[in-house]
Amino acid sequence: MLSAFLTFTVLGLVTGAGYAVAASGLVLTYSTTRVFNVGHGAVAMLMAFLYWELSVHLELPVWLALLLTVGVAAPVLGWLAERVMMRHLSDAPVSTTLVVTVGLLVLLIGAAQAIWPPTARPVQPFFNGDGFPVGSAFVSYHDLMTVIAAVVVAAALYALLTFTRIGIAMRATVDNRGLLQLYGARPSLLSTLSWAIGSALAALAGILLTPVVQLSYFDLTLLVISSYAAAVFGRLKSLPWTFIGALLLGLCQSYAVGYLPPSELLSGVRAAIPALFLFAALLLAPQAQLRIGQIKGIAGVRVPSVRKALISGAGLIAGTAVLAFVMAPQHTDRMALGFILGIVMLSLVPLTGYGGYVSLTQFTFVGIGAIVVARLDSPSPLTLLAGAAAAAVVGVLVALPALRLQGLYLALSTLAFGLLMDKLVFQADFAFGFNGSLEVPRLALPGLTLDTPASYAILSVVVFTLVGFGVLALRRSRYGRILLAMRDSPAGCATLGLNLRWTRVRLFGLSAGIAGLAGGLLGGLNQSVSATEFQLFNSLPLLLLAVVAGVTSVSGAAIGGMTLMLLPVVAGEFEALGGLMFLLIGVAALGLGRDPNGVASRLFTLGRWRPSAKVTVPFRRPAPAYATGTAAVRDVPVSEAPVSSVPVSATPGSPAAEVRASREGKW
Amino acid sequence: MTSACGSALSKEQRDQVLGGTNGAGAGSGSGATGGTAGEGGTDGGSTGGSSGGGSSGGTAPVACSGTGGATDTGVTANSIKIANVSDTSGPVSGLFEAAQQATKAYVAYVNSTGGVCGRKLELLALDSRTDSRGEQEGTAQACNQAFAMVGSMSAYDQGGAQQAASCGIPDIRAASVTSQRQNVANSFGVNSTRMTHQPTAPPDYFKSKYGGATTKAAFLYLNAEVTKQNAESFMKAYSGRGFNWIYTQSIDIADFNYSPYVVQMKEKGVQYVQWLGSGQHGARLLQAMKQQGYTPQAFVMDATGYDANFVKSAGAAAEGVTVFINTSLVEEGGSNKEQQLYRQWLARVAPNARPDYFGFFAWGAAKLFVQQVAKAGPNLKRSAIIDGLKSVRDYTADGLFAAQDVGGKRPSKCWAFIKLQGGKWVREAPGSGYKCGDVVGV
Repeated sequence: MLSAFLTFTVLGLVTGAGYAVAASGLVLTYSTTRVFNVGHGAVAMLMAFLYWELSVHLELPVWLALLLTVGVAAPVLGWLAERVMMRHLSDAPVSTTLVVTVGLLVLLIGAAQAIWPPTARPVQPFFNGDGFPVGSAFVSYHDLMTVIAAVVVAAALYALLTFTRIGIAMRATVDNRGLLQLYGARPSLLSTLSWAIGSALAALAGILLTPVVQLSYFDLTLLVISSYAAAVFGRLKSLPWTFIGALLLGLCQSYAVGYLPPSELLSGVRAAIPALFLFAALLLAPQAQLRIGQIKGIAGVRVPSVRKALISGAGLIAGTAVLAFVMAPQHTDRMALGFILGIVMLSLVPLTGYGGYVSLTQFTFVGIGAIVVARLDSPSPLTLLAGAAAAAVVGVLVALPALRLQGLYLALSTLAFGLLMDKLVFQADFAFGFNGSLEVPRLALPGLTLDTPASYAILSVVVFTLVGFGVLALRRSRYGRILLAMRDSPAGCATLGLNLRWTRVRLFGLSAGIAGLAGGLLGGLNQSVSATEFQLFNSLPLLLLAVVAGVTSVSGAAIGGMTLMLLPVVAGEFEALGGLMFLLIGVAALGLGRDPNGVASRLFTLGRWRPSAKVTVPFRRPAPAYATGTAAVRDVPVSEAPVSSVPVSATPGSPAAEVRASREGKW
Repeated sequence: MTSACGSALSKEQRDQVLGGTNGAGAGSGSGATGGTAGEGGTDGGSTGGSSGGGSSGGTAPVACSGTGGATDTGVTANSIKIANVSDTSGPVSGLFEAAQQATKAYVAYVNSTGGVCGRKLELLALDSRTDSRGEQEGTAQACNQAFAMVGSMSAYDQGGAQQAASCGIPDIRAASVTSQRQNVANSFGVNSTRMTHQPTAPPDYFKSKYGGATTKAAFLYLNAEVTKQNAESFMKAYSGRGFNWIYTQSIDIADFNYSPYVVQMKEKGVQYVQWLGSGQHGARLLQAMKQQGYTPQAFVMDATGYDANFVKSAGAAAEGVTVFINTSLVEEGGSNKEQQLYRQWLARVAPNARPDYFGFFAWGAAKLFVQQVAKAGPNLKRSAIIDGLKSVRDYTADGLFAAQDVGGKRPSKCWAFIKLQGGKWVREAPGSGYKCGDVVGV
């Protein structure tokens, strides 16, 4: 018994070492740049492929291939990433940094698929798999090397960041970049160094883990997602604690295999251990402090008037109806899917566009709506409402334990939720059932048949339009202004006495409800739904395209939905473009991800015959109220929209000013 | 068929296409290429097998002296449009591309002989993109434009089930993966798997070969929808034949260290291991077993293991792996005329393509379709094809695979067993042909 315990302990430590190597680079990058690199696993994957190319295909000596990959290619990739994409993201909202790094993930996966088409590429472990027994387990020298590497990396990084001038300077770039510059340091160079080292560590993780995982485009990325729990355990800044967290995670998984009875329910629990660990680490993490002394107004797109919205909506429905009867049925079906995905995008508008919160698992709520509609097994449209309501309730339940979380931690909590749903709920018989898929009846309205592609397309566009109207009405309402203010300055809203927490809970519920509604429609369109459609991984390109297209407008949601629908179609019909599509989207995300108004805002300005009247109102720098906070001075351009009478000291047109105006009784 | 319509084909050529009396082919033993694998949990096509030799399933066609014109959707006086909806793109690129290539190859072959009753075949090749949405779109397009779906293969074929059922298109698939598609009355899998039934030949063979080891058996499988359900079906069937599963374990797709599972098996004294899931994850398990120095008496996989990528990934760790399979073997293809024909025409339409397990069934599906068209005669209707398919039993495509109960939708009863030795697949049992048993419900 003791021997078995020792064996599982040793194996757990080996697993944990793998997680530690993967998480260390992630923590380094975040602690020195404030960018959580979702694409870290993709960097590891790409470098692993490169290592294979050099060491196996080109038959270079192992030491040379290692040096070229970890010492040259990876740092260059990190430098490029920082130079082209990540510079100046440290103060950007979480939505921006996550979208840009998701864009990096998509870009790198596309690159790998384009350069190395799918086929088996076995990679042998170092030392040919030789090793030694420990208890009844066998530990290879390669495993030992992984453990040693994890220890050395954690220790070296800790020493670098704590005891060296350059390491302290790297940490200081996120605390006070301006002050650091005054002392003669070069923050850009330090930032580049952070990314270069982070990429090198990702490469090391990829090379060490590939003999176990084997080369594949997604497995390493999934593995690194599992290691997020270790990174959060270390609060994204402490390498020793990250190392300990990784070991604990590995031990939990190993003991679960060794001691949990192999029942179906418990196998789901076993698979969900990284997600449970992540959730626990997030909830137990100290609350992030509010950053005060800054207002960052994001200039949004102009909100259309009610009349204009009604005309546009009617035009959209009419145009869709005409196309629905003219196009071939499969194209009409695709159009319907585009609008349904547009509704999913609309669910992100209040949450991410207005509220500034990021959901990394929106498709999970779509899946909940789809399950409810399928299980009710009725053509009544009330099932859609039931699906939406169920998803809304789950959204509220997700938001409640995460009340104290903010920013990135909140986004990661949604990711943990998505993983839990994937592993525990969606695999259960009560969800998608025996086959992992369910049949869904087509909706029927009194006196109307919706069996044809044209009718369902019209239904989809009508629902999209109605939801769009609702989102616009929300934007014009007091609640909408509160959301915008909350996004721009949580501290400012708190000082005004606004209850941010319950506002957020309602917002998550609303967003999830809209997504659930889309899920019901999606089920009716396909007339079947399966668990794989709603997996966490599908939510990442959804978020990416939502921001690229424009997450602050209904038009952006429509563009995003159509683009998401077209992606696999184009990739399927033009095989050569398959990997290229990933590259293009990645590049678009990198370029447009910083601006949540996205493509839609560019389209709104097309054809204008006179330039926008921009009024620049400089902000007076407030007195520093917080030792580590940064008081940002920004010149905020103002659109030509009529400005209400607000005090000059507030940026005209900014949500904070609107809230203040409302407090003065001007609503 | 074409000769019945008056063209000058030799008897041998006619028999080749119609599957006349030379049948058997199964008796010559054969080779098949690997299954599909890919990352996910597609069922590697368990079940099935028919008695070696025996009838090929083809029958003499009805003589047709005219084409009958545009008798149904996708049919004209000169052509019959057929659709193939297979996973050729998606997260695992080219997952079932072999099925589409095989169908193309057969279409090219038939057209070179003059077509069917004066009509040439036109193939509408569609991509189901390895998702249910793509499958639904492809099926919808096929319903509207094609006379029949032939040789299709999709991991998420439930996506098109409703569409296929409602439009009544004859759907002769390489295999039906999900139970929703299996339950569609007009969908038939040539690899006639069915989740609710399992053949007895494999468990009986392993029990006779490995004796007591099967009382200390472990079943490990990838935790992904269809694989999970197939695993339960397998275990129930094998238990009924005397297996004792002392360790069963689903492995999550994100798991990367399989050593704890191997240690568990060692601790419990497992002597027989069966894996169900992708070849890539199977390779990972084998490597973990090798590293831990664990060598059970048997490591068994379904046809997913009969795949070059699996052998390459697993390397030396795969030595001794046993696979049960219901098709001819590529290694023994020299004596199998149908296989030679398949490979010859595959090389013409896709020069870099390799013969593949599902390619065999897709070729067989196309062959069966042509036989049914010839049988239906010039007044070609979808309903006639469907009615004809319902009576197809023991179909071997001239020995390309073991007899399949296509019409009855029951797994085949006969299987061959091969082992990897020195990096090559060699036949373990029987010496030629297949071992046959029964089919039991689970």
